[in-house]
Amino acid sequence: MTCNNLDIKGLLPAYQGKMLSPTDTDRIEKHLSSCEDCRTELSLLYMMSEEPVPDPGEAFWAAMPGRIFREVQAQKQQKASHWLPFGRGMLILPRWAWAAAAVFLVAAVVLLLDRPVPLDTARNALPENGSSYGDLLPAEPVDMADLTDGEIDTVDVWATEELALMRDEVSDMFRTSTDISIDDRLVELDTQELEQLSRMLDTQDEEG
Amino acid sequence: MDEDLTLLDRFVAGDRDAFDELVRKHQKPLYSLLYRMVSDKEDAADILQKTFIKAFTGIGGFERRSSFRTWLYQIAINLAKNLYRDRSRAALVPLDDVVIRRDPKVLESLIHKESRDHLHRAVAGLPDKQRLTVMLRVQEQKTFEEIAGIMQCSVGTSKANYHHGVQKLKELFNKAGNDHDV
Repeated sequence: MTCNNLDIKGLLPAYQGKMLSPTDTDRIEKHLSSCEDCRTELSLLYMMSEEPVPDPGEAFWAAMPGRIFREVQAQKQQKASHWLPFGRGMLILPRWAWAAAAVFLVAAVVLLLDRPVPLDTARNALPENGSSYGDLLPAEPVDMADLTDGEIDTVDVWATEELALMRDEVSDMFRTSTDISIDDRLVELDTQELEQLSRMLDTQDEEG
Repeated sequence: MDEDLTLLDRFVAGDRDAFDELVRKHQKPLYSLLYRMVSDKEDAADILQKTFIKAFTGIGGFERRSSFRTWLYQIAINLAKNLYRDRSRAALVPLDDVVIRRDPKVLESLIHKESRDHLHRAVAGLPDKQRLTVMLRVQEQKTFEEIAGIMQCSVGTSKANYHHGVQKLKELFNKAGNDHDV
């Protein structure tokens, strides 16, 4: 007769493996004494569990960690070397390719350095006195309302020194230069420079 | 923290001793299961090595939702199933043709070599899930919870697979016994 006590049947492997508590062991043994179906099943479990497994030997077990470790390392290196041909290919480029890359790099640097100076940079790095007027112009017009008091003071100091230099230069030119036409010099100036010169001369006149 | 996970962290940090300890700890139980699955010691040793290599090279894929042991068993069983599918199926004796002599009164007679061979072939002929569940429960002494983790199913399903598998084997025993009596 087939036994349908799944609770007992579920515990039979643990009973066979001697892994049950004394209470459960007693319960199983009482059931087995009256249930041929479960005794048959237990016999089957014993037979399965006692199926021999050949032992490969201590040398096999001792060598296993090292063997696996070497293989794991080899596979990791193999994975890494999938990218190596690309790297090596980069290193053995022909000379013309390296030359082209160098030219490109130089051009990129020149372009980067030659680009217009941003407004903020122009504010923070005033040109030296004596530069031409064109050099003094920032990349973008500066709105005076945007300047801080400190910046206005700095610009004021610079402008005063610059005007003094221009004044001295013009005075020297008038005193010493006989072979250069004043008209030629004036032609080289643009409108803003002429206006500045005019204002400077007016100031000189007023100062006597 | 799980001892295996501690060893695993040490291995990832570069501790070679932790690696060796993990392998030594799991190699024999895994080999035993694999041998019972593939019935060939060379194949079992080969799959055992592949299991560890796959586990350690793919350690990034171990999300620690199960134990490291469960993860190893999953890998081992999948590798063995692949080999089993490729090599053994054609050589198996169909389950219905297996003749198993029944002798429940004397246990020793059941452990006779001929009976063991018949039983072995009968187990091998069970559907994959039932066969693996019965082997894990009876031969590896895994709990149903552990089997559920390894087989990636519910505990209820692992219990059902076990009971159906054992029932099927037992029926064959009875059938063979009746045939023998006649």
